[in-house]
Amino acid sequence: MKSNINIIIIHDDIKPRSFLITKLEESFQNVILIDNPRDGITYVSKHYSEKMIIVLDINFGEEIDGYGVLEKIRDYSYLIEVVILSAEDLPGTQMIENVNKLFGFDTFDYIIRKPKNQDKLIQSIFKAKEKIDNSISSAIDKWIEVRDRDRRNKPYMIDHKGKSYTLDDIKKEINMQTTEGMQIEKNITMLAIKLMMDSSQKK
Amino acid sequence: MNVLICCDEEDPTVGHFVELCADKAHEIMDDIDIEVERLNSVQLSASSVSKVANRNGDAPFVCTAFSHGTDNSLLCNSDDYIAANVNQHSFRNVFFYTWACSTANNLGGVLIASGCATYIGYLESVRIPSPSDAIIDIFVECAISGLRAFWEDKLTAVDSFNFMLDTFDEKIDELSLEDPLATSFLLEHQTSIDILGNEAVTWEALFDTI
Repeated sequence: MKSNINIIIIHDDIKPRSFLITKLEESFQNVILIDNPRDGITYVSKHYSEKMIIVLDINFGEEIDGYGVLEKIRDYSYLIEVVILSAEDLPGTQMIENVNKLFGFDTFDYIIRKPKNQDKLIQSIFKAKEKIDNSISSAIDKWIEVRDRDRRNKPYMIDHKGKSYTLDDIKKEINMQTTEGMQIEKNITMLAIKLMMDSSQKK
Repeated sequence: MNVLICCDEEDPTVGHFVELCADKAHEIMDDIDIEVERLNSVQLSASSVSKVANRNGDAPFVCTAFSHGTDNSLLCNSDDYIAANVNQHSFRNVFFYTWACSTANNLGGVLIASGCATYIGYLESVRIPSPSDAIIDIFVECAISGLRAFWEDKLTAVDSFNFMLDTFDEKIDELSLEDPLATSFLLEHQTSIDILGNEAVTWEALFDTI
């Protein structure tokens, strides 16, 4: 069964029928190629609550570069995994400078685009998929996704400030890694630990 | 008066929940030998609570309070009705049982230092289910279980508190398969409750001190 994690390739030098895309389409339901940074940001702004891995170029020859795109992505979500795919094989100091620019933006990997690195890139995308699949947020996502639409849109929970949340709101809070979202994730982790401990005590 | 029930049922956010808790508390205390006084939203203020509590003098009673709370006070319509520096001396020889966020952080300790016998309350801010969700009954049952054990089973304060923890455990176990998200909120309630003061007090011992 193909994964429902969206693969978004924001890159101006990858062909729609390239080996990379064909290969990824074998394992993922949606592999979307976007050839400019502005459309990439627009896509993320509309779909940030979905599970997503972004393969991101750095140099677009436009006023916004990959770092700018990454900054925008992080305005929307810290749960989107981003693999940087740069054509630049820069000298050591410049490379360090580039990697430093990524500090705080939580990128999954940085890969230099060379024919010999094709497998490395695909492996990196699959590792990112594993990370998403095994996360608490993904488990909550899956649980919410199988509820019917009425259930998901009905008020579900009220926080201590009196704010009401539907299940879909909770999903968004988690994807945005807001204080509320992180607390809910923490609660689920605590519950998992408690249930494991209770179960081992019963044995 | 043996039991004072304070309930901010008109609060737009937690009103539905605290009303269910107060009704349940009222229902389990509905006994011919018990005189219950209930103050709802329109009557809840520091002066009205103090007036009712002070009428008892030093005679013991059970005070239950269901509303919003902060570290230092219980709130109705954003105003304190029981607060650490307002009417803390009105609860001498009282078994205090509350559902409200955070009050066990400071208010509970101040009441105990001012002569309150025992305080059971919450340390953290907690989440509750929406009014339309049937699982709300489980949260109410857990929230009231310690009071039920203290009155119906005549357990000591600490045994009532432990019974409450066991009730949470049981409900967490039952609900976890059906709704893990709501169960995690229930766990949040369980890990947040605290007991302060005299843990050995029982219902009978409390009223024997008259």
